Amino acid sequence: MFPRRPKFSRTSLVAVGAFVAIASLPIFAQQSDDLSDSAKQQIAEILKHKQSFSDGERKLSSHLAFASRFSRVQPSRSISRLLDTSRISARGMVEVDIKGDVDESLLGLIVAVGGEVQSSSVEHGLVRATLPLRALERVAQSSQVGSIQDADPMILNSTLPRESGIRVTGMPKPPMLADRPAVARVRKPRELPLLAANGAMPSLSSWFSLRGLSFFVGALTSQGYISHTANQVVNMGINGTGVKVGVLSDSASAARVAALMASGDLGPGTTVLPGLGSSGTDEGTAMMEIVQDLAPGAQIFFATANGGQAAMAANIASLAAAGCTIIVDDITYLAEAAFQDGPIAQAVNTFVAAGGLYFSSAGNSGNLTDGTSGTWEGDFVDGGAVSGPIATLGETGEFHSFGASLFDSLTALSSFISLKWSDPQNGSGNDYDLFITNSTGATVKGFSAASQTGTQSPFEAIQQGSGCGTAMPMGYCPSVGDRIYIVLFSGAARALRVDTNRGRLSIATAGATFGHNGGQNTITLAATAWNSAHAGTRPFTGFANPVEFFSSDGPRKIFLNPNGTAITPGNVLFGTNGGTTFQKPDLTAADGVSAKTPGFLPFFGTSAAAPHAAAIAALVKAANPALTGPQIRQILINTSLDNMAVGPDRDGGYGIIMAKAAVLAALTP
Amino acid sequence: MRLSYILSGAGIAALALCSAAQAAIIFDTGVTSLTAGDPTQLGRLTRNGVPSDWSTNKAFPGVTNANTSVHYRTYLIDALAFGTPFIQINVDDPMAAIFVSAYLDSYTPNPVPANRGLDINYRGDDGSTGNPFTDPGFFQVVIPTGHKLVLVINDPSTNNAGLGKNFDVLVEGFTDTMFTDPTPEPASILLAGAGLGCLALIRLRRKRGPVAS
Repeated sequence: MFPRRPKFSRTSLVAVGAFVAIASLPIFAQQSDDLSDSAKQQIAEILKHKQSFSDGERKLSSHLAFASRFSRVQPSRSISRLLDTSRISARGMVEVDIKGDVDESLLGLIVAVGGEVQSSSVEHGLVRATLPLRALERVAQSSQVGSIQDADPMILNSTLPRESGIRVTGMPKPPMLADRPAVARVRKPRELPLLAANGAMPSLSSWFSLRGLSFFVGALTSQGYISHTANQVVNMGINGTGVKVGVLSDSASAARVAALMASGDLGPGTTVLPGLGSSGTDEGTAMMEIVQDLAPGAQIFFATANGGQAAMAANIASLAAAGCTIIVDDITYLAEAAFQDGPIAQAVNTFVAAGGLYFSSAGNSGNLTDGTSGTWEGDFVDGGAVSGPIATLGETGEFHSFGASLFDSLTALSSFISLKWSDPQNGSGNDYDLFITNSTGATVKGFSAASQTGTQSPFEAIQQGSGCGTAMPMGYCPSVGDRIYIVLFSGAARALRVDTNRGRLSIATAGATFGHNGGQNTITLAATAWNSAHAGTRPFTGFANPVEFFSSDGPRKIFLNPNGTAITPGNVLFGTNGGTTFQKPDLTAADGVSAKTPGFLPFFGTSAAAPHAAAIAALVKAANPALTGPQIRQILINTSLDNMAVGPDRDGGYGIIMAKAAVLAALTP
Repeated sequence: MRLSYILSGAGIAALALCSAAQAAIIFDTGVTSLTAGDPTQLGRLTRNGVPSDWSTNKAFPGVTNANTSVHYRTYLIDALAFGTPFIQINVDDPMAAIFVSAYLDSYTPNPVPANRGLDINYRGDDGSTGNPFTDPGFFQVVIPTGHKLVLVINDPSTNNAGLGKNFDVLVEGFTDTMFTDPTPEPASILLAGAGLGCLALIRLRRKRGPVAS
């Protein structure tokens, strides 16, 4: 006899299944945090301080709050080593961004406590200032102040080969091999003529001079001139005449602009707005060179983007006031809102609404397709209450679960790791914190645990400290394998964004471009090398020209209107399809090109791509000045060459912008 | 007289057809690699990270590992056969295995210190080894008409690590720094027609026999 097979009714099977499902939930919700007791003790100590913040301290960023507190109270060694005091000057001053109601009384208070106002915007409620560390809390206590953060770091979206090295499939990235790599970044300018100076081959220069030619010509041309078929448009007699193009970057020094005008790399009408040349790498002149190469008849203006988000927004307006109908920038402010238009994106909106065309670099933070993403976006998932010593102290926070684990890991180094969520700017009441441990979870290496109580922005950030690699490091020193934990200290689930700013993550998503770079009214540029087809200097063909592996991808989701109200009321999560999604990037353009500005040969990055596109827009506008901004944008899209997935995609947008096809379309009735 | 007709007619036609087919490319090594059979020299150029370009004359960067024997290969290119003095050299070196430089007419490495002959006829170099990101690198030199370009490809390592690793170097020639091709497409066709016309005329004259002067 065979043993009798047990019988299960359908009801009992369902019941067992339900039991298993329910029983598994707590297991998922209580994923192991895999933190050592000492790491938990460190986190507990940080959160204990946070619980005792004064009203003023609650308005300070994490770094400022702890630095301010520890300037008065002796901190424990385990926390003090996590603070980078190098950002505090020898005079005890820190550079900050103050958000709130800006008026004369607030500016007067800053001066009264010994601070100095660098720039201010009543419209955007922003002040950039230096303040004495000891006075931070006092200023924060003002009812006019919503929050005080460390000065928002600005980055340029250029990238140098020697910084990123070479990529060999299947192998770690070795450094670019040069015997004296430092020379590449600080190449000394050498002006004409040079042959006679070294006397190497006088016969050559005489050969050229006899024929009325300059041996070394001074001017260099971007290869994008050919790749984008701008040469064919210029040969038609259309060169951008009558169009004013504005460029925003870090700087365009007077000496460099003069030298480039003398060599013919910039036109005689090139104008730096008074007082807005600033100092820096002169990346602005390299961008202007590209515009000049492709649209030699256009008049080019420059204004710096330095000085904070409000200052950059003001300078967009200044370029518009100077008559620029096309503006391009290559700047990212790391604290720009990801899920809402900030001051810069709002300035872009105003400019575009008035008929302008605005171009920007997507960024160089990588993309999911190439496996280089350093971005993670998704909704908060309750991974269970913080446990161990943290819970013993009465902490009620919840870990966020990344799915497979309660932490994400760095697979490439990052100098700036931030957390943003879908609360309004200057109005976040859901309090999230960010922690970084070493690769085993044994030690806390960095933290950002500011308060969000309704007046602050939804932002936490951990910046690389100083002295990393030495015997005396201060602050966070990144290592591959470092773990990133998110804790919901108090409040509700929100859409989250972890951004490692050119780092890479083990659990990554698309959506690297953000802020005004990926704004609705910005034409966002991905980058492809002019010689990406490995076929020499010839027009792009499309699919042979994929985007650079570092080019930031889209799309861009936003949940909030500029005034902070939800686009989809009551729904600010990815999972429930809240907010709205923009196709980003919009287009692709060339990088890796020649520019004469020292340090930009070759000029890589989406910083180089954006001015190519702006120049082509100038050609189109010059070809048919009656076209509106939206009409030109549509022509650029319609005539682009698809280069990544078929149709618009998150890597290359609609495709590579092409001058001749766009101009011909503009001339077609 | 007749011979010059033939040469000019054939040359014009060849130039036109070639330029129409290959645009500005005047030489391509194809995918290849250095081998142990390539000659050796003492020392090599210092890679200073600065690619030469058309706007300035790059100064001789000096010699590194002057007592080490390294393999090299040269390619002799009559760059200005098509009237293209502005030479761009595109270096596809995905394995970071080579270092490319350019010389005028000849390359004469020798044991003489301190520059081992590498400064003689030096025109420019790539400044670095390997592809920037995944893209080919490039550098630019000017080679006037009547002179030849010597492309020199070195193994920059001290242990022959560059041998057997693939690279592809593409040489382009332009009439100016705006990357103008030697002959634009419509002109190519006209030139080809003119060249073929010359050849046809010569052939016709041959058939008719010598003309009395």
